[in-house]
Amino acid sequence: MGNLINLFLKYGGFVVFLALEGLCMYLVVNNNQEQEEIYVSSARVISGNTLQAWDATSNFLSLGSIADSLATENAELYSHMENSKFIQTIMTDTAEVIEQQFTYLEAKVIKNSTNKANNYITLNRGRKHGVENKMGVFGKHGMVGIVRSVSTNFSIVMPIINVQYKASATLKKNNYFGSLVWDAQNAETAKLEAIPKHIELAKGDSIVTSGYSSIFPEGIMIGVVDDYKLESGSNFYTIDVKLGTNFYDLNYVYIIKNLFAKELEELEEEVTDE
Amino acid sequence: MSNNIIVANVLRFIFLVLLQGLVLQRIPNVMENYNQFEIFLYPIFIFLLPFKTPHPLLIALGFLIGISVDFFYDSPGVHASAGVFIAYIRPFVASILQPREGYNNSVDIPTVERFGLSWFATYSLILLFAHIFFYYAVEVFTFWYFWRIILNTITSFLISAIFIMLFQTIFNPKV
Repeated sequence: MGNLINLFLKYGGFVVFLALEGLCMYLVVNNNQEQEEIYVSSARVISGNTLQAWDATSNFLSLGSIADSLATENAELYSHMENSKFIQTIMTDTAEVIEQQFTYLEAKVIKNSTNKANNYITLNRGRKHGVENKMGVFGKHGMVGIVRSVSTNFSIVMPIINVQYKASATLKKNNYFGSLVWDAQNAETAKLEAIPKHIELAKGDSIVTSGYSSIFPEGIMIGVVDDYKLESGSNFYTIDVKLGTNFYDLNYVYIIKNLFAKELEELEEEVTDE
Repeated sequence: MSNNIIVANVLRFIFLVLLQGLVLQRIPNVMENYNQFEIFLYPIFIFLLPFKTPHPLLIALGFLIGISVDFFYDSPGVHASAGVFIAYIRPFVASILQPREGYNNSVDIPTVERFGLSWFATYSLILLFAHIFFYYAVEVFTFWYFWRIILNTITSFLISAIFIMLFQTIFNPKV
């Protein structure tokens, strides 16, 4: 027995190396899949609280003047905007009926990263405050990302600046839509793909949310065209998008709640079931 | 004597994980312009473990400090896999750098105190580079982002090397 242990201590390194690397790869791959953040969700309660306490301290030192009440008020104001309403007017009807479609919840960023390939943002709002998975998030300068997972008090957002992020986006001036991806170069730019070559483009054109999904209302700013080129032989532009949101300086964001999300989802399910 | 080494390493482990998770992690995030780098200081824990540490234990400790750091970075397995990797290659790196009189495996600890600054710098910078390269390769889990891996490795390496040497100069660890 003693010999066996000695043998292991001397030559077991490679076995342990393979076993632990295997475990690490399992964790990495597992974490890259949708909704399988087992490790993170258990770690979040502890690290979330630590980080919040830490953030409170650093806020006190540097950002004491930011008032929470302003953010709450803004969230309220957003819900009064036109694109948050669902117009119920029917042609034959003379009275216009407008119903609330989107409401907004303000949230504070308590953790944020911009220098990884898989960046995430942690917010101080969770299930308790009505946050659900796949809700949209935006800030004062534009779209931020989508809620990826929620715990009781916190939620984690996958921002545009994550290599796994993919969203549709439209050119504001002509409503052509393409898909927005991040190329992991820096936190200021992303790429818009699949815009056909016959479209006329100019630097500075606005790119906004399409409103085709139930996640974002139509017309939320994403960014502007920074540069574009047409690879020879390709039918589509490659567009560099300068993102509106400054991910380096993100304090308050707004979570979007679509009051019709459930109805839409059920309806869409009905179609796919058939 | 042996107890001293254990206590020193336990304290170093805790100190490095907290420093890495609460302070160093945030530095790239508060930089506004070019911030595509990470500061890696915690690998020095693996560099400084005594030569008599059995290889499987060395690798397990590499995993432990990596996964503890992952906890703060929300990146399960990424730091851990780099920690396991350099803990695995450490004996090979050490044997390449073996001084003429060889190592005395039962008592030697890889420090500046014992082997001198240039030996320690070569030893730790080789491991540091391997650690950072491995980290970025695993982070994106594909070589698709080749230039990101190369650029970030070089930037992070240069900055981290300063922090490793600063740590060495300030604390000058003997055990």
